[in-house]
Amino acid sequence: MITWKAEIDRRYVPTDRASECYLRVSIKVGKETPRGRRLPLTLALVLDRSGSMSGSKLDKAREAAAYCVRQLGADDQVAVVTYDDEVDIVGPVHAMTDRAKRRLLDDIRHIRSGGNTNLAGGWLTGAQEVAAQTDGRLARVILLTDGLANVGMTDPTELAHHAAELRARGVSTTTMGIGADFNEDLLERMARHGGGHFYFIENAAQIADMLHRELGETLTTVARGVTLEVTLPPGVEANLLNDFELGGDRHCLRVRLDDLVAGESRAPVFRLIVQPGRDDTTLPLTARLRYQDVASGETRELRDDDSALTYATRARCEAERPNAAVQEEAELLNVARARESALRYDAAGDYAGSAAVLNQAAQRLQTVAPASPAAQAEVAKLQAEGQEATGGFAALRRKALHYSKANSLQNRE
Amino acid sequence: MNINELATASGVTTRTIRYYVEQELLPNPEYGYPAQYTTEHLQRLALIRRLKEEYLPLDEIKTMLQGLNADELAALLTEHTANPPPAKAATLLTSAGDYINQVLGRGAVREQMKQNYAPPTPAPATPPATAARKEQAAGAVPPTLDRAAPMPPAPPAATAPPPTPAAMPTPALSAPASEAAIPARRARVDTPPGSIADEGAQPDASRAATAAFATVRAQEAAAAPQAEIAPAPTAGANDAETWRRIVLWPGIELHIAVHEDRRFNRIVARLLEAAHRILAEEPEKAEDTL
Repeated sequence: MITWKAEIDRRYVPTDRASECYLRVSIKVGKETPRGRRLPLTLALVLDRSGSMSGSKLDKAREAAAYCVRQLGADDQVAVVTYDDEVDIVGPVHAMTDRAKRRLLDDIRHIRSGGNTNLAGGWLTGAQEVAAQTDGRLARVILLTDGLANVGMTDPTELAHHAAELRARGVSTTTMGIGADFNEDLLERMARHGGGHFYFIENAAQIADMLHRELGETLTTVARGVTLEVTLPPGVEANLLNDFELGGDRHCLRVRLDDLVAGESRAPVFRLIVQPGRDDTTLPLTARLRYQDVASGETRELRDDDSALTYATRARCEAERPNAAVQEEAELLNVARARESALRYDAAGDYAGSAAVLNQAAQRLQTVAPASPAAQAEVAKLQAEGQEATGGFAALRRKALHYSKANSLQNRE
Repeated sequence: MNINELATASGVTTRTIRYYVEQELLPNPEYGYPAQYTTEHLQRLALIRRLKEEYLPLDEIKTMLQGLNADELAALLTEHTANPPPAKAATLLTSAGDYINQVLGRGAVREQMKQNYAPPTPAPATPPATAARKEQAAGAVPPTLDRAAPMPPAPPAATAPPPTPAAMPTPALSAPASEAAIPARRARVDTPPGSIADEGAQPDASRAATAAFATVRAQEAAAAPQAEIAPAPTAGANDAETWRRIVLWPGIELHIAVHEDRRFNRIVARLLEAAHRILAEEPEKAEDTL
């Protein structure tokens, strides 16, 4: 069950000058899982077994992989791939019958650590395993790594491109980075373009939690191919503040939200730029939400025509009390962009620039939402980060910040 | 309706409409002054637009639309107007398996190598690469490897004031800035169509190479230092005119015909070895030399 609502932070826009406002479309999926059937899952677990994984990381990864295997039923299929500088198919894709499970669990126990990190080779081999199983199933590759790709294809842009191509062909990619040494930019982009999720795992003990979460989510997919379409009247342009894939054109923006699972919510926020116009005329906005309902297999289309802006005198516009919640949410997305920007300055060695961006974001949020406790907590966090930024971020902190901004921009917690 | 009305109704420019007619994606209009277009034109245009959104190249769309009658057209349009679920979309593209084959092996070349050396392959569950070859021949090759020329790290933005949060540089926008700052150091390679905008990534070219199946790795190492080679995304790997482009250094490239001859490949391998040896003597940061 999906509920949704479109809100603009104000109703009136001035007649005599261009103005900005925010449109938020909140989409909520009910907590109950679809009755009757769930999508059968085809999963490739791709585990990094390079030298640096040896010890507790690989132990935990093995345990977590075994957990996944035990969770799944005979309708599901699993492949396990490991890689260092070479790629091994530990268990080719196979239906999880009891016998197959026992054999695979045994093979997982025997995974040993080795040499370098051929991330691309491992990932693509995993994808290869599930590639033939995209029809009516959920085909996903979960890549677990603690290192930089240093053998084979390593360019983040290229790998992200392939991830997007595979997603268009029904194979999605989730990435999990462990510790301080992986390339968060690479993994986050692979997951974002790959239609899966990115996880930052600070220590090995969390591997199981994250994998449980990912598996749990994957198993409770309620809607597939969720797409939001916003049609704008002439005189209005929109920019999406979140990191969702955007298509369509200037007049009709299409946001791809992919698969949504039980209890999940998404709230794309657009910045609307409105040209001046004649007093009292109305600008109607139309939102459409399309998705495939997993339980019934039907395609649904919901439509919302209630949002509109009205031109009014400047006095009337100024008298209006804007919707503070929408404004706060928009500003929090700006904060995430500020973190993104700060990390870029940090990577370039410009610590002062990095700190300045964070401090400015704190000030703005303070102005926009002085009364919100959540926003105030965020302001305090930003100020602390601004302090920290002056000395450059440590590797783990960089990852944590990257993770936090990526989650904010994609409405994940 | 005339062409202007069709343009308004479909949201496609008159120029594009004329182009589609010329390319036989649309039937000729009925003769007259002005030439008359029908609802079939409108439907076809809507469908072309949808299919383009699914990243189908025009010639594939053309093949799909050829010989469809009005009913089939309408059915297809309904199917594509409703947002296609990923599985359905996949049937329109090359399959995921073929795509990966192409990426992993650059198709035929790797297949050929496997056959030549006949190693015991673990046979991943995929169809043969014939479709991938066909796609290559059609020129629909995925974008790639060779754009990974060595690039300098993003320049410190110390001189510029930090952007205000309202005007944060989006990643896509920040790339041209770094390019402008250091034009000479960046080996320009045209971005292939359809590739994702560079998000400010700084790839390491010498390593941006093809991923390989574990089983063929050893044999490849004997044939040519594959790990150092970025194959060019050219069409038709099975004809003799396929070339690989290897970026050795910003501004220095080696073009090598793809060859099955072992002696030839050995020469190439030695040449590359020598080149890498020479280049390795250069300090990594060599701004002063440029």
